[in-house]
Amino acid sequence: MNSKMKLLVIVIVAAAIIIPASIYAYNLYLTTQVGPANFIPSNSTFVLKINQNGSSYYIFGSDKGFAILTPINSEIQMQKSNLTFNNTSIPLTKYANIGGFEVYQITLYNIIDGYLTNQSSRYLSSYPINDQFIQNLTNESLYLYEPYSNHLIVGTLGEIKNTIYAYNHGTNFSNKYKYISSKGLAEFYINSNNETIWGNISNTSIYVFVHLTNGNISQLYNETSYLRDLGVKVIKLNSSTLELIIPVSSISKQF
Amino acid sequence: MSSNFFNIYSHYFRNYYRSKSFYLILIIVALASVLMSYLTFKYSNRVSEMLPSRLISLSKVNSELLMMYLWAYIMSSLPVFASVFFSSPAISSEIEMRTGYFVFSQPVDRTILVLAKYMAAVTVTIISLLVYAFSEVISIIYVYGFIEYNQLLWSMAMLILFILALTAFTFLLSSIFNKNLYAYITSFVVYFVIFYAVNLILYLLYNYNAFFLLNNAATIIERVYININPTIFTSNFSLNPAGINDIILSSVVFVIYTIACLVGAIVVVENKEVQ
Repeated sequence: MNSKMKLLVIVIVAAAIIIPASIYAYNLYLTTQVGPANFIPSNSTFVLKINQNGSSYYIFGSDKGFAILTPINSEIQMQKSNLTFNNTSIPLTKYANIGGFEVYQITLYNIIDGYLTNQSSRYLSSYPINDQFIQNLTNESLYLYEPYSNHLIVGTLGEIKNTIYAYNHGTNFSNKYKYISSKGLAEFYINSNNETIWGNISNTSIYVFVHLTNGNISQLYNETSYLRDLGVKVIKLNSSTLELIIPVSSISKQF
Repeated sequence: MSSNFFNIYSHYFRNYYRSKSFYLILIIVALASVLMSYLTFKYSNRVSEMLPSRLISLSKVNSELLMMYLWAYIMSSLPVFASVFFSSPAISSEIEMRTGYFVFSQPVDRTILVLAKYMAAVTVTIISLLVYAFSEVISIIYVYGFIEYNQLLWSMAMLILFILALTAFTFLLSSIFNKNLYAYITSFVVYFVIFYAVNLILYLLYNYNAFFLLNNAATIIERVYININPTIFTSNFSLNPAGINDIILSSVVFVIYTIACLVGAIVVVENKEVQ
């Protein structure tokens, strides 16, 4: 092989590696911008995003429990030994370092106690709690940590571990974030073995998209005229897909 | 072909570790190791003072990770000096010293020559940095009684990829210039001035993190402990490590630099005429 041909082969092989690697790196860069999607597990069975006053709150869960991702703001603040929520101070106990994150523990007892103390200067311990169920309930704990600057994740221990695993192993919601990326009042995503439902809620309507991986949705054909009578706009309906817009006015009419 | 490669590699490897540059780098690395060991012994109890007061209650694991972050922060600069010392004159010296007349006329493929020399430079750079890594492990275990091996191994793996990329980058510059001094100066100026300036401009003016720059990707060496990018001004602060996607992203950037710069160096050397 002469020198020119050899160089040509080397350059072509290098370009064949570098060009797709660069595209991959850019796409990966977009997913590494630390944000909520990095901490919501990709296997979440539900994700609800609520937009309020320019801030977004995420409630999500799986068979491991549930968690809430919230910005730290004037209503929620985290100091080194306590969490302040609406001027209610709740003591934090350091639980463990999980996957590089300092995780803290709060008990429901402390949450209720702090709330009552703040509301009426009374203490939960002054209430005669005889009910075993309530006593057991108040012994339950929630766990929290700061996933990135000025944000908190609060939830059950199983789901907290799930979020850290999702971040550390890349099994997070980045690829599915498009489902909840609009800027309405709220967005939702529900995933089960058989179906995926996502949509958003605005002041005037609710958009819903249903996708069945197994089964048949076409039996709803008979219901479309009824839905239209209610004011629901059916955009798409076939054996596996249902897409519709429900005007808020049509809901209010029913009630 | 492989025996050719190994012979050239062995020859240049011996040349490198017998050179004054190697001992100079060893002295610099040893000095950095002593200074960082001193910092570890004196500062380990007060390492939380670096942080905002909100995070003062630091666990022992996080205290150790913070100290390892500081070690890695210094470590990520050392390969720049090592690889520039070893690699910048790699090709340009053959022209400047006129040894190219002899070397390039040998019945040895120039591509093999560049690759063998490159691997020899990478090897001595890694060897010189082992002193620092060894000092880090000893100091951290002595002070804290344990070490986070998982993060340490990630950091070391990223360091090796960074050395591969940086050495390829300096080889490319070395192949362009015919004088060692120009290759040295250009390597330092591009890395410490141009890359940092572009990084600042893109971040401050356009709020864009220039992940594709070599100095930015190199921050992964310390960010596997705590995900704070020292090349970016930010008030954001948390003690969390970089996630797997950050690690993969930096690895891909290193691989792209390695391949692109090595191929560039090979193309230039193959077409170079010794005058």
